[in-house]
Amino acid sequence: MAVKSQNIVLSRNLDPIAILDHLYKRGFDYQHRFIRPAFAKGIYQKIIRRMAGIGEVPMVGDAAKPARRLQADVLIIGGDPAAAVAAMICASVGARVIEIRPDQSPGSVHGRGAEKDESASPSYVSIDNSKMMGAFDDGSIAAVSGERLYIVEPMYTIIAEAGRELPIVFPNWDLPGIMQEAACLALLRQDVPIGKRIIVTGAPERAISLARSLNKAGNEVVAVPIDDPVSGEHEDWIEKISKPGWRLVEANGRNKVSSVIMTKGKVREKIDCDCVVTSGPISHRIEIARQLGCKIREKKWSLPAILVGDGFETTKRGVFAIGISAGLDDPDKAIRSAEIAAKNIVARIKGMGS
Amino acid sequence: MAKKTIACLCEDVTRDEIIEAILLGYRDIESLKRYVGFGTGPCQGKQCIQFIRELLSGMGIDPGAGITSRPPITPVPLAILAAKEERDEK
Repeated sequence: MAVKSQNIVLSRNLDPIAILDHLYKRGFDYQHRFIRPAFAKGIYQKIIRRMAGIGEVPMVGDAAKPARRLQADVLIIGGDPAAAVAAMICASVGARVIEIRPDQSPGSVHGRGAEKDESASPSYVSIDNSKMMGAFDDGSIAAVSGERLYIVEPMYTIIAEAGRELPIVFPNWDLPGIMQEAACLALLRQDVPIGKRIIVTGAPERAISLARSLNKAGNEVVAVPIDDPVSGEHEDWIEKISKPGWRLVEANGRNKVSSVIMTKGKVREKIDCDCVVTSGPISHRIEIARQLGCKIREKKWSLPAILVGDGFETTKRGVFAIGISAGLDDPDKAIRSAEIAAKNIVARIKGMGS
Repeated sequence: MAKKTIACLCEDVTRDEIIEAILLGYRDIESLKRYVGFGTGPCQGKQCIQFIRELLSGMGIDPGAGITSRPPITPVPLAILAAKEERDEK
């Protein structure tokens, strides 16, 4: 699908209507600006709508496959490595396990779920490359994969989704050339050159490790402003570019980022660059839990997370959250949470059978 | 070049517009969202809500609960949702 016309005249760079961006820096709110005299509003609207134009989308729909409804003892909403562990434990006792595994789109971090052959049990089915659709009132979960809607009716649900990287917000962070870590890693995997003067900022350890990956792929990182120094031995060039205590406060450029301003206390420094990569905070995916009716822990400053009790069960009976979905960033703790939740479920399933 | 801090990329909402709305008296995420329009685009607030929570916290306001989550969590073509259903024993 492609939009065939856009809100421009000539090309994007030569568009004369772009003058409005300079005249009205805070935005050209035509609905209010042209409201006086009120009786002429209709005429003005016609003119403005003609100026704005309307995008055209082809009316050809993609053929969808029939929706499929599946029953499961345990549904695992995967993405976190802990999902694989939970799937294996549940499938090993013969429970019917369905794992919804997300696509590898940028923004999905913290690894993938189990590979199919790892859980060789026939009672394991995975719905790969899926997008989460949502939860129904009866607790069934819908996901879309390969042009098909899957509706899973589970007895028990384990939420083990990967984290989601958030942007770091500063003036002009939306300029082309500024990207998030996951996007940068996706481009690196495709051997796309990233830049010749790159600034990496954000979570210290991830930023330093990203600087290393960028360097290894032949890109040049010029500065890594981070809050705290990263402990351990580092190469000389890493020591040279890492800037603990410095904060990136603003980016500048016309059509693309060309420089950034960094500050440390009252010291301000401008650095020329052609790319900025941000390693933003990792948030928990709470949407499916919210839709299932699980309670969410929301504190003033921290990232909202799914509230879990003993055995990693949420406030909704039969729904569990493990790994990063339960707020566990540490991989060992994440795996442990998978074991506890899965064993708990297995015990309940066995209890019902006897 | 004008310095603009975008808070919500999907709906082109700036930090200044949100602060203006907070000063007008919209002091919780749900009413702010309805007034300014952030979190109503394709990402449904997944990228911007945390920034707005921090903005409110920074102004000494408790952001409270986030916005209601409704399906679809990720954008899905309507044709897929409209497809008829087949029962599968697998």
